Amino acid sequence: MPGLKSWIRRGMEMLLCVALVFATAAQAARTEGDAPPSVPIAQLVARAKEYDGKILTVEGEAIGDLMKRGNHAWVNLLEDGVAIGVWLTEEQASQIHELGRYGNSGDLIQVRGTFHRACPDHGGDLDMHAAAIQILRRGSKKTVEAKPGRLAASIGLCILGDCSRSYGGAVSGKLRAPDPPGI
Amino acid sequence: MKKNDSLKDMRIILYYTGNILVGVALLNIIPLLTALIERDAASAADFTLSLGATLTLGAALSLLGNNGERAGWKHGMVTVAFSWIVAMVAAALPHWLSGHFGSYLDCVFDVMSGFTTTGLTLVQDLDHVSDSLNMWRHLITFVGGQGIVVLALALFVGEAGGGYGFYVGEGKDERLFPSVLHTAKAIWRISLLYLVLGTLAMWIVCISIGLNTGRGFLHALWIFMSSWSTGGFAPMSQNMLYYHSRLFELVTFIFFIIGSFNFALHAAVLKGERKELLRNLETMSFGTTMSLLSFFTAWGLVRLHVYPNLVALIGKGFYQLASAHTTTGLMTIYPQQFATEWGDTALLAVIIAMMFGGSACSTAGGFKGLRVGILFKALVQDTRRLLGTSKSIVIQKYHYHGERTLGEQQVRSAALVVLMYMGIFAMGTLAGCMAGYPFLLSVFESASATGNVGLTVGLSSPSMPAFLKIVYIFNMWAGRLEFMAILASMGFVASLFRGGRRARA
Ligand SMILES: [Zn+2]
Repeated sequence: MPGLKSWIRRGMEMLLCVALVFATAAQAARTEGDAPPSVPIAQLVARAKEYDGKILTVEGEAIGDLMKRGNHAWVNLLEDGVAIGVWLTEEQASQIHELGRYGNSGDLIQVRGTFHRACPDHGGDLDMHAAAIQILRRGSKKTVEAKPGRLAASIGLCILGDCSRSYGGAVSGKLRAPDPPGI
Repeated sequence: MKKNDSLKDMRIILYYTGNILVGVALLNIIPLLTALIERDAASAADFTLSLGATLTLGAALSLLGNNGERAGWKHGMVTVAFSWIVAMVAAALPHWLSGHFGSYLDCVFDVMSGFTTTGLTLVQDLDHVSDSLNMWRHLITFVGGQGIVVLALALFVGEAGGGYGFYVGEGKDERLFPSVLHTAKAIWRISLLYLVLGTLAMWIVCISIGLNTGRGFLHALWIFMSSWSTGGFAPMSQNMLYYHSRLFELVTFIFFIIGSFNFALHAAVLKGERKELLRNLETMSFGTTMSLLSFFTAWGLVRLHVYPNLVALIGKGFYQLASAHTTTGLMTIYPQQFATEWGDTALLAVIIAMMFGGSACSTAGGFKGLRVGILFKALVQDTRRLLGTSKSIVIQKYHYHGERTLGEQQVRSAALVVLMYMGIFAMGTLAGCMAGYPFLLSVFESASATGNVGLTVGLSSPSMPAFLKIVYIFNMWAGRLEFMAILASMGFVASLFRGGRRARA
């Protein structure tokens, strides 16, 4: 009799365990299906070991160049002074229009994908492989205006510098060659 | 009498510094043209302002100092040390006007880092910097590599003269030709030849990895300037990691290895003496230490499973080590990864590589392969002396553009320079610790600044304390000029005070 009782109890315990495992797996699958957690790029770089191989979301400004490589492309995303390379398909890359440069702000992009601390496919680069990208905000061009005060000062100084230089030149002629070493 | 002498000395120094400054002013024309071509009026105004201000200052100094006297050895030395400081302050003006720096100290730090081909930077939001400012930063690094005084000599001195003091003061003690002027011009010829070839090669690579023609050209030019002069600047904040290309990294690797060779070696090879490449004490020294340190780096990285495969191990481990040993400072990893991933063994190997540095009379820093080689030969000689009979005289030979005999004076000066390097390196480390950074990271950053390398574990940032910025500026300056010019200047300043006291008494 005590044998049967303990057998039932063990059975119950096992059932509970299985249920628990299923519940966590289901939970994990659900978070995976929804948007995975968004991580600041600076934090990704600083704690790369922790996030290695995880599926996550980053946001940043597309900067510089869209570098096509075969049917893929690289773009770098910048957020708070730290940038990360994102490996995209040609189709994803075609959604990016504006790239951040001098006087330009690039498209603000959200990327969901796999993070690699040292990517085996890309020579150990720290990178993201995009599964999906979304444009959050289009970038814009702005012209950087020259300051009139600086312009006037610069012209004035150039004239002054040139005058004193030619005055000096008239006084001394060509720059004298220094003496041979006297030691 | 004494007072008059030092006044005379001072005027000679001012005269030459003024002329060097005029040379620096004229360099502004290149970024100015860049801005004009791109119709960037704001940057064009900034560079015109900088051109005018530097020209005025230079002309004023040379007028002030113009007394018809010729410069001797001492004047050359002091002029070099002094003009590097003045040029640093003047060349930082465009940085300041760009609005990408937190303070004028940060600008000055960036310029000194450029002139000394270090590559540490305090720029903010580099990814949105104008092309003309990037042109200026990389031009500074390119010119600094060959020497700003060497440039001024090549530009302005019409007749063939001596001026060996100017030349040695800038850390180049190899005379390719009997005349310094010829040597200065030869150095520039070699560099410009490589600039044209290197930029073309790099341009092709840039286009093949997906940059457009225009940006590809600019990046090719800048990255060439940075690698060849073993500088370490790059136009984007991710440095080499921005390009995500092994081919790109390989080409920069070739450039900075070649750039770290002695100009005399370049001249010999260009003349067809290829054998020199394999027998030269300096290249032998470099090859030996590079192999040993590669082993230690690989050991450290493999043990900690830092990289998934051999390609990554070479592209990250070996590249960083070579960048350190040639004192370049280009990086294919993030600064934090040194600290959080590499582990102590690999980090230590990189630190030692940064201290050893490249070749004498090249654009590289560190205490140089030649000195490491000479000290090693001296060690061998002394060991042979100990083992031999007391009466025999042990003669140690080495190959350096011909067979040479190791002399006591060479060993002495090599040992002194290495000792002084270690001294300011220790000072930089102490300053880092005082600012609250961990020991190993302070060691790393100090070795990087002192050896004019530019690799960083992240200490060098706009937020680091001002006194640490000043210590690093001093270390970059002293390390680049190799102390002689600085010791001479200190002696000169001391003599001024002594002279003043005597005159009053
Ligand atoms: Zn990858």
